[in-house]
Amino acid sequence: MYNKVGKILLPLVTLLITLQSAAAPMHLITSNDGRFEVKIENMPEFKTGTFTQLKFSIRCVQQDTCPIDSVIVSAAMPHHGHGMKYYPEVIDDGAGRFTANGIKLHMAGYWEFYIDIGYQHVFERAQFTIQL
Amino acid sequence: MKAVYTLVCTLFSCVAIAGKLDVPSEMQYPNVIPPIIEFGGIEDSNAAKLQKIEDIAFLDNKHLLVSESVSQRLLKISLPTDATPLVITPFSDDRLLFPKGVFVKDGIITAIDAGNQRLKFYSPDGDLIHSFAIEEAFSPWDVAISKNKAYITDNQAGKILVYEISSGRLVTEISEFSDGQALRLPLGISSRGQQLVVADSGNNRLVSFNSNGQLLNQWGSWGAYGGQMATPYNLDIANGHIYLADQINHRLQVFSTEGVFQYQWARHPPTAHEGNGRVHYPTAISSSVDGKMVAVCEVIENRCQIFGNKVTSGDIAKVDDSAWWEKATRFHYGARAQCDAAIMAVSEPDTHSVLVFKLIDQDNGKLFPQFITRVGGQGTEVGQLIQPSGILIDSKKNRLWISDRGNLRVQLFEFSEKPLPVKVAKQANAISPKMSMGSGSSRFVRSVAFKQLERINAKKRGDARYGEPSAMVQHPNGNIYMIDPMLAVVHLFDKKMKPLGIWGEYGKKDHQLLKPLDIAMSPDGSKIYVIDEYAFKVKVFNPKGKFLFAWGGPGEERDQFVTPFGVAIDSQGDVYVSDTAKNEIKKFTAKGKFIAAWGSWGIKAGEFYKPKGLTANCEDKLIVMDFGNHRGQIFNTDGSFVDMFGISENPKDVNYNVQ
Repeated sequence: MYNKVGKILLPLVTLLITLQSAAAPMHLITSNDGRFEVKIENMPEFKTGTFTQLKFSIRCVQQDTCPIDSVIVSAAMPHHGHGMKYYPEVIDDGAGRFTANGIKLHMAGYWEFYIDIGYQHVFERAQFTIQL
Repeated sequence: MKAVYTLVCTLFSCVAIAGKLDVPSEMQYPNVIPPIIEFGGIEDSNAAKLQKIEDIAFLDNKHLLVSESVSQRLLKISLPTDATPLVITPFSDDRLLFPKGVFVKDGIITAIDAGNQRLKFYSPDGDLIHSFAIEEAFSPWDVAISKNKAYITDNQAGKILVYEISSGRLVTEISEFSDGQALRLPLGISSRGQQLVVADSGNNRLVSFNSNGQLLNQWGSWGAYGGQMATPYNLDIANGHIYLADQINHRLQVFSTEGVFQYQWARHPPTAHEGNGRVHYPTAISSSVDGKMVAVCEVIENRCQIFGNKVTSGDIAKVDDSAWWEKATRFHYGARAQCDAAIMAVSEPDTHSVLVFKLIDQDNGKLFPQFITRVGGQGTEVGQLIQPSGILIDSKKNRLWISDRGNLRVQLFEFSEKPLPVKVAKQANAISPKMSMGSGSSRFVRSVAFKQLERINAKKRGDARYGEPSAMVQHPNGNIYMIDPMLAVVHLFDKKMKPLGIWGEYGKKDHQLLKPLDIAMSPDGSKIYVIDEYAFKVKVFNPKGKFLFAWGGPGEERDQFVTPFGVAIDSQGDVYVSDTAKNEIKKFTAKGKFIAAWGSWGIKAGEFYKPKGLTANCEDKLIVMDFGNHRGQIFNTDGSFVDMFGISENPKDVNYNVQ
């Protein structure tokens, strides 16, 4: 009985996993004033107290906002009134792609992620949230 | 006077209950030390002579000097003894205009004459013996003397200017030390021998350096625990100690000359305007020559307290009782307030934030502000604030611009009564199951920086295009007008804060500006009203900057001002001005003809304790930030009192109505 169920379920589960990988969600967020689109390339599995890497790309929706001068990544727990204990390092990978290293969420709970995009003398924020 | 005091006590017991503040007993605060002398404040007639204490310095062990910018004099105060009363004697120099820092070295008194841009030197008897121009200073604040040089903090420019005393020549200017951190809103400065220490207030640190400008040490960070600071305001070096007036922590701190925290004393009064060892926004501090007394003055209370041996010897408990304090200092409504239809926003200096309210119509038809959210928070990162200095609301889009003179930028925030959704592009096919749609009830959108390097390098006002972002007003066509107190100009931006132009110039004539503080616009957008503090006037321009007319001038007559601060215009075009030191609101026609005035010093409904920001575009109500009383007051446009709010997170919980 177990073998029969297993023979049926195992390929089904494998197929589901494969399908899910193929249709991996594309996290596309618009900055808060609409000047940029930020695509999260690898939404990581965040774990409390573990260093994580975030890869993302930025597209200028309005051409006058390019070139981008700087990008700052941070995260905060607004209900607790604090941020991370570390400042992530952001590397410009070229062609609008960036990698943020050193993200460490030290507490479980509600976090807001901020990607602050600088051009000329302006910073505009794109943000998303996670619940750890 | 006793009756008023009892009323105050009644008032604040209400506040404590309504706000559910766990107010500890006095026994838990051993560091509240009674002063040996106290003068000024609500129960003392001397307060009338001390309406705006800018700085203090002991001349010797019996006399305290006060620079006071309502009488525009230096005052010599003979401290009382068992046999003699306290006597206040003005210096004979009647040409001072907004005296600021005062410093005593070897019996010679040095004082900043900010309005005339001069540094002045007096004998102990008050005779003027020397002076020179300090026209390079945009906003001279405090002065210290070391090795024949005068070190002047320039608050708005973020510099220390060093002048040779004998020639009056500018020797050098310091905008940062070897640690590379730029000075931010420097205030008090003091010296002893070759050591100088400056209160770098925007960075919440003290910086010790020698007379050659070499960094010796720096310490402090933002916070409420011992050794941390919240706007370090003024200091004095004496007796191997550095005494610090820690303004927004409402306390005094003591450090060794190497910067090691020693102890702290005093704290915010739980009873409104109480002295007796409590301090409310201490802004001036000085040690006597023999080191046995420390004088502390509070500009908001028109008061000074002098502490004796128990404080100077450090013979007090080393208890760090700071933690409770953060709760108690919430909702100190600040200088700026703005309305747009039914949305109101108020700056709050203690938390470096802006509070957003919705004006709700109560059953009885009265409007009352309901708290929505808090925006900002202390810091230099985007979305944070150091010193919010202007607010502009767009109630249709639930957005507000906040100018921040500490971070030299203007920031756009979005607010909502409900959690704001994450913005998602149309193509996005999914949000991770771990991602929440909610991101709080306010969020940072965008910041626009003023050009900092250009500003630091400016030697005179014409050199820089951007000085200091401050109060804003929006034209019906969407353009934004912003005053710049440092450069004495008005900036013009489009509705997205893209620069369009600049007008105005520094000067003493009516069509010029000396120190613009606030701005308002007529309902049709044809006239722009600017408060010029140092001219004591309201100056009116058209939107292109052409001067139209002005009224006011120094004085207590009905169309004059003592310390004009805020300006607001109602839907009929009538103009309201807050006169902070006079504790009064004045109403004028659009052309400046006096209509009415109301208010006096006190805590009852319709009375004020240093009113500052005001806004009239609130559903035809006038809202006044009664800064010293920690509350807002709501009036009809005829000046009749409607209601008041304050302190509690739900303002309506607080019954402030003192009959």
